[in-house]
Amino acid sequence: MTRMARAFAMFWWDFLVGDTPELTIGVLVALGAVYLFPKGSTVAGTVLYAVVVVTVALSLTIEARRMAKRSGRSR
Amino acid sequence: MSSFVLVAAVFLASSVEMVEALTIVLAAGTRSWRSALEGTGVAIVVLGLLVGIVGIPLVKYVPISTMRLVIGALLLIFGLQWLRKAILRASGLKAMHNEDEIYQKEVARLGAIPGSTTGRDATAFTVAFKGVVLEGLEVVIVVLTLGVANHRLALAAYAAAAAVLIIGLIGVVVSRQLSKVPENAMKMAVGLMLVSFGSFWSGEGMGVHWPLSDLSILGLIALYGLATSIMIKVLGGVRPRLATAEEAR
Repeated sequence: MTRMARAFAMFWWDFLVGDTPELTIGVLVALGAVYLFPKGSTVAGTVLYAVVVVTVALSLTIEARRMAKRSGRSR
Repeated sequence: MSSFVLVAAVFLASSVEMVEALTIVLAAGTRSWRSALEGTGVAIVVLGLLVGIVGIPLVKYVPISTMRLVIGALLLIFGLQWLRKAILRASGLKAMHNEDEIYQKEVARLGAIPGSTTGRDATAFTVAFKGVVLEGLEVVIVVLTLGVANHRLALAAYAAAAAVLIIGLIGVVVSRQLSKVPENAMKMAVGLMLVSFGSFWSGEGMGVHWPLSDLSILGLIALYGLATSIMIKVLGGVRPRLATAEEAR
């Protein structure tokens, strides 16, 4: 039973976080930012879009840096 | 309108996963076709039951605004993971998914395991079953999230079933893995749709006013598409620098 619960938790952890925790954090930040706006706001949608785009860009930058570091280390 | 995008997103996501599952099933089939097909059939039934058991109570008993917020967040995370991978592949920073190579490796691995080559084969059954269930779980998540948030679970399930049937039939007709399928382009399209749906539903769940209502989903797809193409261009410029560093070793 414990093993099953552990496997279930691991599945969701891998699914939601995995090796890109920055994406999960970015989505939480985006939703947190939307929460600060009053209901019925149109600007909140723009903020959500902007934070999501910045999140992907950030994640890609992290990956490109990781690759550069790897290739630099193997030189 | 959102029904069309829903069907397109589910169909494409299911097709991508089905192509990957098909490679495993075809490799398992080199040991025993009968067992590989039995494993595939059982896996599809299990996945279908999962959609019914989890999806129907969600549609019936959970308030729609709560559902949309939670599902929107899940779609955003899931979609961003697909999109990120597709951008890295399109810009050349990550190797493309090579179905031919995966197939050859799987056939070689399975060939090394002793067992029957005719009739029932436990290894072929297990490999096909596991492959279809694992690849299919992502389809189940897409069907559940998009289907439940749109209150069109049946439509989403039909779209997934159509993809499974069509890709399966093509696989049977050409009787080989579908390495020519533009998997990355499909993955990118799905990523864009999931992120757009995710933004729309999570926003709706938190009371965001989308000026064009459901039509905003198309606007979001276009805007995310624009940002994606810029990112691919920028990363494409980074690639030669990384390659030069690699060559200098």
